[in-house]
Amino acid sequence: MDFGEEPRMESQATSEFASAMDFTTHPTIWPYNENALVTEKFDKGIQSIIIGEKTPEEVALEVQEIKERELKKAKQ
Amino acid sequence: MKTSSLSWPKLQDNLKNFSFVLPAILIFSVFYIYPFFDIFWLSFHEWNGITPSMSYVGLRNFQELMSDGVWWQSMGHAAYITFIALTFQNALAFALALACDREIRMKKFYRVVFFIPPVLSEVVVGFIWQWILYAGMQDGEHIGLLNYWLTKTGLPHLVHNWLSNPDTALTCIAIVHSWKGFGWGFIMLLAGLQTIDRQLYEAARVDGANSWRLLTNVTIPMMVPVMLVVVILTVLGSMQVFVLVLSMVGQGLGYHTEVPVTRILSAMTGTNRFGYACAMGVNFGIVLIMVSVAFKWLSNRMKQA
Repeated sequence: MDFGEEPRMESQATSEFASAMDFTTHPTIWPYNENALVTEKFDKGIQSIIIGEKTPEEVALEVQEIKERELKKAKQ
Repeated sequence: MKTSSLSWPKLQDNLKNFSFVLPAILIFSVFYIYPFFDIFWLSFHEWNGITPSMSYVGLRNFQELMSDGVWWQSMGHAAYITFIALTFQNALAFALALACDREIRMKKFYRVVFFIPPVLSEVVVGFIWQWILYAGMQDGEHIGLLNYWLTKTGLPHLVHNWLSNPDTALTCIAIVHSWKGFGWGFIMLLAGLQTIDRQLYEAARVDGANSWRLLTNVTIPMMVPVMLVVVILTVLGSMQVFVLVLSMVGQGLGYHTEVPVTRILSAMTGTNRFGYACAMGVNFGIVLIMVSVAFKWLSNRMKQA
């Protein structure tokens, strides 16, 4: 078996997968792969819902806003 | 004509002397000077704290910080805690120092008792007060000491979710911080009071001064330099409070109990933005220096007056 040659296709696929994951919110592995700022906004939002400061809709909008901002920043 | 003073024996002597201070210079450089400049350097970069590479972003972190509402909100919270500490904490410390400066019974005992809270760990104090202010119930009885006591003394209408309500949580933290910190002010003010020449009081009494005039015309003017030190230390200590916040309310309650250091901690370990956290640190340091300079200027004006 020759280990000398680099598996180019796999490495390219892995790289593309990793890049794609930066722009993906996966429902079953969230929040481990989520942007930390989005996670923080989500956590703080849940706390705000619990103390009756915000509605879930308001929190969802704020999280969406942060997510879009971070995606835009990452694409630049 | 004078010959050069840098002869070999003198150079040897200088090198020997320098070798004695070299360890101190090395330690100071590695642990103080290098981190100080590194924070400035990192604040101009986008870095997650792990990868070997970091990207230079110029002043973008500072620009983002200027429009970060949560950061300025946390600064406001620290200012509120500082205000409570400057008024309530220092007034308490000064009143108790004045009381212990007089010939009262058991004054040594009081000195020790008043200095116990500053000696305790902030985490321990935070958890003790969390239990005192706890609003939970078990078998129809309040677990938290304050709410239990309020119920038992016929004041159930005052029972409150002290640390779970955004309106009271920060005030509770500020009061606990003052309770923990007044001992330092007490000791320093007491030491200052004991340096005032007793003859000044006797002379003022001969001139017909009452207790109030003695306090306002002798004690307070003589205490201005000590008060300035206490005020600056209170400001610096209160602005940097965070252990009490973490131990009393954790990261909970939305952004209502955020203080600058918890924001820096959150940017560094939570959102992995080292550059941004360093920018926060630089900004916070500048604010603290400005506040200290302002108090120094105010004190000089008071001395002149």
